[in-house]
Amino acid sequence: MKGTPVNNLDLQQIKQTWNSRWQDALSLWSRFTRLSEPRWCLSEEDERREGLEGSFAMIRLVDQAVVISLRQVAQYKLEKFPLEVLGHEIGHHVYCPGDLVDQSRVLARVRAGLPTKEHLAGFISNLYEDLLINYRLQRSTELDMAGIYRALGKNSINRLWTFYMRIYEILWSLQKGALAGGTVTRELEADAILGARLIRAYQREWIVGAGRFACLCLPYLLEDEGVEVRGLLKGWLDTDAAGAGAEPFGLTEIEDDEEAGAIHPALDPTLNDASDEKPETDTSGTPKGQEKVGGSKNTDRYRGIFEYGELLKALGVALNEQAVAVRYYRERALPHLVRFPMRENVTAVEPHPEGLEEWEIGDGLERVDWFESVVRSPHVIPGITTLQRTYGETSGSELSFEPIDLYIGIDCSGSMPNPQRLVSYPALAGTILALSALRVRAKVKVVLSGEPGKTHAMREFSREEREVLGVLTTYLGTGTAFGIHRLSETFNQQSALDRPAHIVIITDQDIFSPLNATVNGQTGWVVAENALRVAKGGGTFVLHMPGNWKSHDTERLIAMGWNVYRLYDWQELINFARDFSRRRYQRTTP
Amino acid sequence: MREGPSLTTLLHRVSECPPIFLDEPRIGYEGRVHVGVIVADLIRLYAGDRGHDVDVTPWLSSDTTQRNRLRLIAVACWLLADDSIHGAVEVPTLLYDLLKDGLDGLAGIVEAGKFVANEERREELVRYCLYRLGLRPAGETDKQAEDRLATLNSVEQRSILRGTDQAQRRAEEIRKALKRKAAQEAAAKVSRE
Repeated sequence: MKGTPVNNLDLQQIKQTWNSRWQDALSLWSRFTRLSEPRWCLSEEDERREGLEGSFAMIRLVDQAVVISLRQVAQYKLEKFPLEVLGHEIGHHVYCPGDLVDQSRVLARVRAGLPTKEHLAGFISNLYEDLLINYRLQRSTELDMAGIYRALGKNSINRLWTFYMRIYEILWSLQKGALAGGTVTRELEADAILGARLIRAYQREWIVGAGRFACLCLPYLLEDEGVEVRGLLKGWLDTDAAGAGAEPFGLTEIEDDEEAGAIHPALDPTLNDASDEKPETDTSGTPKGQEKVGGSKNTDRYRGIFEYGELLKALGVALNEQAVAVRYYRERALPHLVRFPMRENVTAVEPHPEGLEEWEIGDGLERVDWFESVVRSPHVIPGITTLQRTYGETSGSELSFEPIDLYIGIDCSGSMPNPQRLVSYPALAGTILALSALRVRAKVKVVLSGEPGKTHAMREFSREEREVLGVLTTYLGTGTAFGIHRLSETFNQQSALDRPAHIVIITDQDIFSPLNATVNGQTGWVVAENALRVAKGGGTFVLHMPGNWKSHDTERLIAMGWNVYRLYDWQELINFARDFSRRRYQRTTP
Repeated sequence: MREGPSLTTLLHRVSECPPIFLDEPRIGYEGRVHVGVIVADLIRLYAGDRGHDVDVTPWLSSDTTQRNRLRLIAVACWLLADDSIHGAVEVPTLLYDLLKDGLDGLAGIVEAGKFVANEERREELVRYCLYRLGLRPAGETDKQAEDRLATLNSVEQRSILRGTDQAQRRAEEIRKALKRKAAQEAAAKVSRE
C-alpha cells in the first residue's frame, strides 16, 4: 500500500506546500476560523512524540490540535490533497465532533446502535463524522475529496467499503462505481440511499443521527467487524485518539434519546417516505414512548461503570480500571455533595499574624502572600520564592467552626460488588461523604475490610483526594463482613487525634458476627464502644439488612451512642449520604 | 442531450421559490393559485407569439386529488422560468409535455413542498426537468447526468426501499435480538460477580 520512503528534502517541500495552504483550509469553514498551525511530523520519532499511531492525520480535542504526518502522506501518495486533508481535519474541530462532550454524546449513541459490537463505536463514529464533514466540503467547495478515497480504497470490493463509498457517490453526485468497487445489490443500494438521506437530513442535528447510522452499519459489521475497511482507512482514522489526555465530565449520565435514537433509518419517517411504518402504539392506542399520566421521570439514568469505562476508551482516554472507577464515582458523587458537619469551637479565637514561611506547591493558592513573595524576589517561582503568612490564635469574640474528620469503614467482603466492575453504592456513598468532608478541609481515612481475609486502609487521616478515592474504589472480595476490631487500630487509648472524627461503617447484617467475636480479649462490642468514645465525633452504622432482623442487636448499638441507619436497597445509600449532615448537624452548620 | 445551465444556479433558484407557488392551487372554486395561468405565461415565455393559443385545460381541475400535482407544476414553472433554461431549450413542445403530465409520477409519491425544502428532492426536480427538456447540467456528460438522475429518482428509490423493506426489518430484528443477548449476558455477568 505504502510507497517508498521519502527523503527529508522532499518532506520539507511537502511541508512548505501544505503549510502555505493552511489559511485556505481554515477559510473553507469560515474566514473567522482560527486554529493553531498543525503539528507537522516528518519522522517516526515526531509521530511518536505527538502520539500519532498508524494514521497520517489526527485531531486532539484537548488542545485543539491537528497533527499531520507528512512522512505518511507521502507514503500514501496524498501529497496533492493538502486542502482536502487539512480542511477535513479542521472540520473535526469546528463542525463535528468539535469538542469532547459532543464526541462522547456521539459515541454513546453509536454504542447503543451496535449491540455486541460496541467496541467498534469509535470506528463507526469516525466514518459518520467523516461523511458529514466531507459532504459539506465537497458540496460547498470544489475539493476532490473523492480522490483521497480512491487513493486509499485500492478498488476494494468489501461490502462495508462498497456501502460506505456508495453513500459518498450518492452524496457527491458521482457516477455509480466511481468509488464503490464491489457489487451494489438492491439491499446495499437501499442502505446507501438511506445513509445519504441520513447525512443530509441530520447534518445540523448530527448527534441525533449517530444512533441511526450505527444501526445501518451493524449488519455489515457482523460479517467481519469491518476489519478490511479499518485496514483501508487505517491511515485516516483521525479521531481514534481525539480524547487522549482529556478529563471529560458528564459521561455517567444517560441522555433520553440515546436508546430511542438507535433505530434503523428505514423506520424513521424523515428518511424513508416509502415506509408504511406507523408509530408503535400500545393496546390503548397511546403511541409508544408517550406518557399517559406523566409526572414521573426515569431515575435509572446513569450508565454502569463498565459502559462508562468503554466510553472513555472509545474517546481515546487511556486509563486503568481503578482510574476509571475514581472518575466514575467522583462524577456521580458531585451532584450529591453535602454540607459536611462543622462543630462550633467552644474557645472562640481569632487569627493573629505571626510570621512568614515557605509556600509550597500543594498548599492552597489563596494562602500565598503575594506582596511578601514579590518583595523577596520579583521573579516569582512557585514553591521556591513564594511565601505564606503564619498565624497564631488570640482570644476573639466571634464563634469559629472546625470540621469533623471522617472515618469511613466499608465492608468489602465477597457479598459486596467490585466497584471497578459494577456500580457499588457503598463506594458511591463513601465518595459522597469523603468529597463533602474534603471540601471543608476535613481529613478522611478510608478502611476497607473483608474479614476473615484482607483489609486495605489508609495509613492515617488525609486530605489527599486521590488517596482517599483510590482506597474507596479498591476491591478485596474476601471474608464475610467488616472487621469491627479494625477500629481499634485507629481509635485506641494512644490515639492522638487532631480533632474529633465521625465514624461511618457501611456494612450489612453480617457485622453482628464480628461484633460478637472476641479478639485479643475484647469483643467487637467493646471495640465499637471504645472507638466511639475516642473518636469524640459520633458514629453511624449503615446497615443493609432485612426488615425482620433481631432489633435487640441494633438497639444495643444505639444504646452505646451509635446512630443506626437501616436500609433495604443499596441505592438508598445515596439518600443516606445526602441526608447525613442535615439530620445530625444542621443546627451547628454555619 | 445538449449542455444546459449550471446545476448550482438552478438548485439555488428552487431553494428560493416564493411561498406563493406552494399556496393552495385553484381547484373548482377554491384556492388562489391559478396554475393554468402560470403555465400559459411560461409557455409564452418559451414559445413567444406561438404560445398565445396554448390549451390550459390540463391545468384546470375540480378534482381535489390534483392538488399536489398542481402545486408541483407551479414550483416547476418557477424553476423553468429561469433565463438560463429557456435560453437553452430548442423544442418548446417538450416544455408543454413536461408540464402536462411529465411530473405526474413525482407528484404521485412526493409532497410538492419537499421539492423546495429537501436538498435531494430539489436536485431531482432540477435534473428531471433538464432531462425532459433534452438538457444536461453544465460540465456533465450524458452518462453522468443520467446516472445521477437515476440515483435520485424518487420513484426508483421508493421502489428500491419498498423492495428491500423485508431486509431492513430483518436488520432491525437482528439488532434487537443482539441487544437482548447483550442484556442477558450482562445480567449473567452481574450474577456471577
